[in-house]
Amino acid sequence: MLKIENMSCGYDNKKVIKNLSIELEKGKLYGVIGINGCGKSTLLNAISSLIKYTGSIKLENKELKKLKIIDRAKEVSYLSQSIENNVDFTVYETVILYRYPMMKGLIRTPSQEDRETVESTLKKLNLLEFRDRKIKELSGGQKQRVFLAGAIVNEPKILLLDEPTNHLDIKYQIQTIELVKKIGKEKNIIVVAVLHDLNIVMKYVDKVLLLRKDEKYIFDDTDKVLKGFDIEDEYKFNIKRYMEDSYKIWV
Amino acid sequence: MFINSSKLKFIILISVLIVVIFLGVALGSVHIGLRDIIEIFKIKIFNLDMEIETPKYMSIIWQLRFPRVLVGILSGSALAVSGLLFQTILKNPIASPYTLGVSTGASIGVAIGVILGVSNFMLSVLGFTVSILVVGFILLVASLYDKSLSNVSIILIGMVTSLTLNGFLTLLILFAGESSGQIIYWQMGSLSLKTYKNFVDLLVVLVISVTYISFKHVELDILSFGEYEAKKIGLDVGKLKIIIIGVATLLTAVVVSLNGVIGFIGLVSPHIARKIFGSRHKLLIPGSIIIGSIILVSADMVARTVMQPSELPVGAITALMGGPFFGYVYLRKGKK
Repeated sequence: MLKIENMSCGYDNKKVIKNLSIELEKGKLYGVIGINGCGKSTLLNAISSLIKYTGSIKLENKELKKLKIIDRAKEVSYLSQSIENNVDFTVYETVILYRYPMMKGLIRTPSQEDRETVESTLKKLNLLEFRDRKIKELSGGQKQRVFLAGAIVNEPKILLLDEPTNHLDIKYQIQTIELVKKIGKEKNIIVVAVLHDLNIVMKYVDKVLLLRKDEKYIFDDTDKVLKGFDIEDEYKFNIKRYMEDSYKIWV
Repeated sequence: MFINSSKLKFIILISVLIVVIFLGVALGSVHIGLRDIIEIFKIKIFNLDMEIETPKYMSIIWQLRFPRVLVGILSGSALAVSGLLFQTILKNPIASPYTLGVSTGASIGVAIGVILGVSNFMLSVLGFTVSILVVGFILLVASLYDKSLSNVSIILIGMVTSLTLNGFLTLLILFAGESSGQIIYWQMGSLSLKTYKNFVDLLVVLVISVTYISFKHVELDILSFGEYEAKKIGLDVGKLKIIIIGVATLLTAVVVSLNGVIGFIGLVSPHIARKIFGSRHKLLIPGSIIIGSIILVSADMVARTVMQPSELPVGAITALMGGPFFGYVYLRKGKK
């Protein structure tokens, strides 16, 4: 279980998130939503200890910011929006580098076990046919899957995803989110995804965190948050009517 | 197949290096035939009885050219590895061992030494010390200015410091009066008058440094994804950065304080290695080493032979060859 208590964080003295207290359980898919600039990515940065935070974020009673970088990387994986992918590595070479926290020895180099885990991860994400292709030659959707493979290859307890469906066509969007949900269940890990598409949130997410200015966040079951009053107020937009109207166009 | 093809590439490169080494020993103010060279090596290596007949050119080969070529190999290797490390760690394709003012620092140390009239050995010591101090100063200022020690801060403060120190160096050359020529000539870089002692000193530094960074090849690969991503993967980027910059600085400082400023090898060799071997440091480190050696030994050969009987500074040759070559590589890439 991940327990966030009175956590505040931000950049350069400007607190973006204030006094957040939530508890996340294993095996569930959590969605983080909110208007632009509300601190969605900031929250993921804080959980992965890439930025400083006050208060506490505890995974099974271990305070994440007190862990060494390498030990934190064993527990938390974070797939961010843009990754430098203009390097000359193949898919296999890329994914095995993400296995780094689990590599053993004073000089961390891949063991047989590490190599086998990479192979099985590639297989799980249907990437075996691209194994020896250079990542810079792949399409956006394929790259996304490669880095998703990287995010799970170290067998983390928490998987953080920042807009994992961005830049993907609709088929890949659905495939990705279904895959992520399946991985979370199978491996019994906590999955937290920043999402913009409220239809995807509605259909797949177990519980939603709606981030808002000043401590007024809402954390509840998906149905309750999306159909509640607050979300319309927050987005200053009649979401329900928009969805109903689009539905009418389609049928 | 991948492993086989890179093995083949290494075999080809090493063959080229061996040919270049032989040419380096054979060519010069007097050209010496392959048979004589082999004869001399046989005598020296198998300790044959010298009384039989001492071949001509024994001392030219054994006392002058061979140590010179050996120092060339190690200097080229050290500059190339150092360049590779700077390019990877600063994530900047035009970073070189001189980006952080190693050469300016060494030049200032040597200039001060020349003005004080110290021995050649002390000149190297001074050059080495001041260059290390300059890089230390840049890292210190960069870390005070920007706690995360970002690449932009390092490069910016490196450039500002280098520019300022260059002004200072100009003044020193002015104050040196009659000995100013010695400082200027030193800055051009030369491999002449190198000894086996120099070779052994370089060898010790190179072996220790390269062994260490070979242990870090996975970490260096991870850095290719950028600092932010590397941190997410679990690298202590700040610590690694300082250690790697330290090793790279040490390598260049040793070479520069011994030979003077030899440019472009640190910049060009890693690029050629990347073209041949890709992005993995497991291959890039040995690849850069061989390519750096080939370039420096051949450049030195050109420096010795092109304007016979006088000798050109090898730093001028590497710059003359390296500049256009680099332009060619980049402009061609842009065309695609």
